[in-house]
Amino acid sequence: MKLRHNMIRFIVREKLLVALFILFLAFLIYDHGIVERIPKYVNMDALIVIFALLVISRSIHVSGLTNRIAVKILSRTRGSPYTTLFYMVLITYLLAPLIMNDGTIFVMVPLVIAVAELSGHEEALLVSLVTISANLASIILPIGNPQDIVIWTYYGISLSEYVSASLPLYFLSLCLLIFYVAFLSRKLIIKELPILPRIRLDRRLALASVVSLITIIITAQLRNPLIGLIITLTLILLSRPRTLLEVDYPLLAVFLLMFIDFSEMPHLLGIQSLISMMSPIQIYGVSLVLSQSISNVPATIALIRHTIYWKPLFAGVNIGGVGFLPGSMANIIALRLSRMKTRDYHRYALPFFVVLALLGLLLVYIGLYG
Amino acid sequence: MPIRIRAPGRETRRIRPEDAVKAINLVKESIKLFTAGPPIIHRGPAGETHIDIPLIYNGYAFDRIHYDPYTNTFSPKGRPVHAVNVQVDRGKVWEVSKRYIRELYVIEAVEYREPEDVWVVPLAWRCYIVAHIKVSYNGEELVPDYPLTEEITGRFM
Repeated sequence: MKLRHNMIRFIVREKLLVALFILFLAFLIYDHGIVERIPKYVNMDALIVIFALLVISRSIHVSGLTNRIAVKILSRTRGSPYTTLFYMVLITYLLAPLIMNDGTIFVMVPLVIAVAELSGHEEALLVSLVTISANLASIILPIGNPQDIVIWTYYGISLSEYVSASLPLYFLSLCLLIFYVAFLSRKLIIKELPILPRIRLDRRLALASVVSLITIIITAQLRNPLIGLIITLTLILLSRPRTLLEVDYPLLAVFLLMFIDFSEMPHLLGIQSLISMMSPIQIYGVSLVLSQSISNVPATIALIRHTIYWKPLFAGVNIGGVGFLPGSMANIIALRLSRMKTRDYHRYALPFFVVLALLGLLLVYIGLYG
Repeated sequence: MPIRIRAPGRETRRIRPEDAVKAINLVKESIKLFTAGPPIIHRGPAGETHIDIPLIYNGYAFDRIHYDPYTNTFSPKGRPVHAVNVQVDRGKVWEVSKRYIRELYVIEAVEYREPEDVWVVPLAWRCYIVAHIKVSYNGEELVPDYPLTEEITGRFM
């Protein structure tokens, strides 16, 4: 009885994982050959980096470091709606490249809800802005979100090449967000924020997390992330072993199944050659539309093996993370953590997405992401 | 004057009444920021239901409040309710708890827990003490309940 209850609870909680597993079973029944193709489909380096970052982002949060940063910055807002919104975006822009977009949502959304309640600002507005920021801020470093880890490890791009390619889109989106924040905050009223309490900082764990983060970046860059993962696990085990129990392992399984299912899909549909013939603008368009419909990580996996144009793919899947809710897993997590309605998120995210998508198209057209 | 205490065989921290006051004031300031986390619903082997409401700030849990599904109210600390033959609507429990959390107030007295080196500030709802918030020895930082935070993290996903 208890086992059945726990299984039902797991299925309800891990709908995505279950759906991907069922899809995998369907592929397996249709063609047993998928088993032989699995090693080719799974990007082990990307999976190792994602695992290490799931551990690190959890330990950074548990250590109280993110709370310290957030409280320090928020204490300077002086209640101004523009400053409050601006600082929320700024904190997210600082955190997301380090603890991934999903990790940032876990840290920021509870704080944003509290700030919204105290300041009287609309919760959906703050949550939407933070979610958009988390998706776009995370692109500056290849470790910021799963689709960029996949692109970075698959194409073997150097860190400097990656950062120089991501900078234009990063700054464009930041400028656009600042403008959008100014536009949205013009009708909000000024209200003094209370003193935000600090969480006790676990210095040992905070130090272990920061060292692990640097290590995984370096080792991934040297194409040996396994060493980075071993160092990370050792440091976290020595500092606070329980953190390893708190890691979102089902999410790791989701990524593994995404690699298999969405690599198999073009194979089954026989559209590999069609994708390989696409121009940079077409890759940008397809990745944008595909991200909006099946989420940006599956879109990346489905396209990556069949195109040599990583820059338009990078622009398409990252811009495609904003907009409609399925665009990114971070959007879905934000909705689950808050009381925001889907239509409220779309009210704020869609106008921003349309403008950014057009600007992205311009960047591809002029050859910056060609 | 600061109070100096000693445990057998070792020197312990010098605790000061002003730090205790700081701890109480910190919790008073923080209480507005606490929210009710998703209800933790346990079902026992005999089909009994036990509901706890985690007290959350900035993604960290600080204590669990027992929920009485018979009366749809909070139950005092130390009195978990194991209910039988009662239909539990998770959404309703959460909504009710979010409302009651706004009614929590701080009892202006603390206890000190030496092994953890923290002040413990009691929170009351109506006439019951329902939760304890831990504050660092200097009264400046909140100390989360990490195992509880771990328990609820999976529930968010």
